[in-house]
Amino acid sequence: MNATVVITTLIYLAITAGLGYLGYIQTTSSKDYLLAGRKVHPVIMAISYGSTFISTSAIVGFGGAAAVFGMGILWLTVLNIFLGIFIAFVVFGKRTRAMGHKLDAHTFPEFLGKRFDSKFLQVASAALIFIAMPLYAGAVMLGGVSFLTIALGLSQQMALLTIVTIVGAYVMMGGMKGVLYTDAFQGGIMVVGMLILLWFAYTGLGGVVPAHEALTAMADKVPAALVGRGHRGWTAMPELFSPLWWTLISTVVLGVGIGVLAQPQLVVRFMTVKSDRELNRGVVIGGLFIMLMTGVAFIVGALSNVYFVNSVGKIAVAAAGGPDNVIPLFIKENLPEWFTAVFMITLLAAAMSTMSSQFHTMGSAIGHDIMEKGMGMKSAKPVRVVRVAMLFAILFTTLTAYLLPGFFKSGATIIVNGTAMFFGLCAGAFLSIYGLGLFWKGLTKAGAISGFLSGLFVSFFVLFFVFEKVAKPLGLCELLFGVPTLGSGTTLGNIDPLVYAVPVSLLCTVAVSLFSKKLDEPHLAACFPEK
Amino acid sequence: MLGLGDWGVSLAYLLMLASAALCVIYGFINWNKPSPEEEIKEIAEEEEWEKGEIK
Repeated sequence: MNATVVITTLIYLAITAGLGYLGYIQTTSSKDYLLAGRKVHPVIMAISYGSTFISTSAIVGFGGAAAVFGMGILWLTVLNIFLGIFIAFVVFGKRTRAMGHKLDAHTFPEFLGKRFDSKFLQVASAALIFIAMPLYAGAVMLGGVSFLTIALGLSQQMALLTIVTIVGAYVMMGGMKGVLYTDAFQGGIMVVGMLILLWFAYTGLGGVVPAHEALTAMADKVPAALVGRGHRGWTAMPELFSPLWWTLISTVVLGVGIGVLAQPQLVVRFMTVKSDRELNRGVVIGGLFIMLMTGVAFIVGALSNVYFVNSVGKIAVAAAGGPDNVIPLFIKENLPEWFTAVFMITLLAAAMSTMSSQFHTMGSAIGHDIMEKGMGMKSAKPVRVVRVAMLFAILFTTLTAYLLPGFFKSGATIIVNGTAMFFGLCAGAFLSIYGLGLFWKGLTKAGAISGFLSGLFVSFFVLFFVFEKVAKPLGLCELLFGVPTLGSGTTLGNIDPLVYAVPVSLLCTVAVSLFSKKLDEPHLAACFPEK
Repeated sequence: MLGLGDWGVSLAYLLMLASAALCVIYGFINWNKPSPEEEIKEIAEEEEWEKGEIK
C-alpha cells in the first residue's frame, strides 16, 4: 500500500466527515433533513445533482463498456447532457420545484401521491424504490469497491465494509444537508480528476485527432465474437439493428439516457432550491459537469484499447480480464503513480456521492413515505424514523452488493447492467405519470395508477421472461416455459424493457385519464403553480 | 471527421460539445431570471408554507 494513497485518502475522508458533521449541526427539522431547508445554493445543487447522477458506474462501469462498444457510447453523453441536464432542469425541474413547494412534498413518492391525491401511489412508488434501488446502489458500491481492492489491496469484504460505514454515517446523521455538502466537495474532486485523466489520455497518443486515428486504425483487432454481433471498430457505430446495436442503443443509451428524467434521487434535488433562478444557473454547471464525467470516461475507455494493444498486445477487455477492470487497470499501468491516488479519491468521491443520495432516497421512502405516511406511524421526532429506516436500507443494499456478482455471469458488465436496470424500471413506472402530471391537468388518479402499474408490469415481465441478460441468469422463464427466454433467437431478447414499458405506460396513462373521473378543481388549483 | 471512423460517432462527439454549449449559453442568458420582484413573491409564498411545517 502506497503512503501517498493512504495520506490522500485520510485527508479526503476527514474533510468529508467534517462536511457531514456540518450538515448534522445545521439540521433541525424534517424539511432540513429531507430537503436541506429548500434554500440550497445553485452551484451546490447542480454539482450535487451531477455527482449523484454520475457514480463510479458511469466512470468505471460505463468507461469499461466504452472499451467494448467503442465511442458510439458517446450518444449516451449527448442524452445525458441534453435530456439529463437541459430538459431535466429547464422543463421538468422548474415545474417540479414550483409544484413541490405548493404541494409541500418532501420526497418523490410524496410528490406523486399528493399530485394525484393517491396514498396508494405514494406507498407503491416508495416500495418500488426501496425494493429496486438496492440493485443500483449495489452496482455503485461494487464500482467503488473494485477500485479500492486494486489500489489499496483491500479484500472485497473489507473495501465494502469501509465504504458503507463512512457513507452510512454521514447520510444518517447529516441528512440532505450532509449529502449536498459532501456531494459538492466530491463533485469538485471529480472535475479535477477527470480533467487530468483526459489530458493524459489524449496527450499520450499525440493529441485529439491522432488518438482517434490510432483507435480507428485498430478496427481489425476487434474479436471475431464481437464482429459477429455487429461490432465495426471502436470509432464506428455497430451495424444497424445488429444485437450489439440494440444493446448499445436500447439498454445503454436509451435505458440510462431517458431513465434519468424519472430518477427519484435526482428529481428531489429540484425541490431543494428556492427559485427558478437557481435552476437556470445550475444548467451551466450541470452541463459542463456531465460532459466532463461521462464524455471523458467514454473517450478514455475507448482509447484504452490503443494503450493496452501498444503495451501488452491485447485489447482492453482481454488485458483487464473484464470490462469493469479496464479503467482501474488503465490508470495503474499507464498514468503516473501520484495520479493513482488522485483518481482513487475521484472514484471514491463518485461512488460516495451517489451512494449517499441512494441511501437518503431509500431511507426517506421507507421512513417518511411508507412508515409515517402510509402506515400512520407517528413519532415526536420524525427524523429519527427516517434515520432508522436508512440504516435498514444500508444493510439491505450491502447484502445486494454481495449477491450481485453471483447473479450476472462472470465477466459481464455488472455495474452497467445494475444501473441500466434501475434507470429503466424508473422510466417504465414513473416517466409517463411524472412527466404528464407536471403539465396536464386532465391526468386523473386512475390514469396515473394505471400508468404506473402498466409500466411496472411490462418492465418486470420483459425483465423476467424476455430480456436475455436478466431472464437467463434468473431462470424463472426456464422453470415456467422450458426456454431460457421468450425472446430466444430473436432481437426481442436484446431490447431493453424500457423500450416496451414507456410507450405502454404512456398509452395507459392517457387512455384511462380520458375516460375516468377528473381530479376536482380545488385539488388542481392546489397543485398547479399558475394563479 | 476528427479521426473518427464513421458519421454516427462523429455526430455524437459534436453533439456532445453542442449540448454542453447549449447549457452554458442558456444558463448565462437566464442567469438573473426570474427577476428579484418575482422572487420576493415566491419567498412570501414559501414563508406562508413554512408556517405549516412540522419541526
